[in-house]
Amino acid sequence: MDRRMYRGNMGNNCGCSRNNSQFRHSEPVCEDVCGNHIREDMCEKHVCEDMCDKSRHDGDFDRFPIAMCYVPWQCFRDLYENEFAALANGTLFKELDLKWYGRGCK
Amino acid sequence: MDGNNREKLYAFITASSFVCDDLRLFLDTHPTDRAALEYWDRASQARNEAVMEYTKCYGPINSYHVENDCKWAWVEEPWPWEGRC
Repeated sequence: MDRRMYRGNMGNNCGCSRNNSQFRHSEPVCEDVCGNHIREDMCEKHVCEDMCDKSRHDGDFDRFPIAMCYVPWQCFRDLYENEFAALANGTLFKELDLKWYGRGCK
Repeated sequence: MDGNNREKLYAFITASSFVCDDLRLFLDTHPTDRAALEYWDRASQARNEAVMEYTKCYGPINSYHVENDCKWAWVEEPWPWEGRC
């Protein structure tokens, strides 16, 4: 994740540049996702877990501004038991061991 | 027996290098994550020690680790098309 982009979407600026955007809310949408947690204490486990739990909800994408990218915050957890298992699965993180749905254009 | 140990050591270097690469990607966006930093210290140390042991016992894995003892030892290792890269 590009953290600079993440920073740019936090706080009271939800990323909506137009005042008449239908996505403007009294509560900034990005506040729901990242709050004000991007600080030096973000490495604290309870803060990180809280961020992950908040970013996990995925049922209200219609509240987000269009044409923006959103990446759920990853936590350092659920690792494979050793380096051989990590290499065999293509990632150290079990959460990133996902099914591949890509296909060709034919 | 020695060849078996060599293969095991090389396999560990391959796997531990992958873990370090994956950890680096995580740390690029989580530079203050203490658990990840501690894991990096352990993983990179284990990887570096394995590379040092392999280099000492079997020869250099990359050209930066070649120690010239009146001979360029890099070319004595198998080439990629000979089964190792």
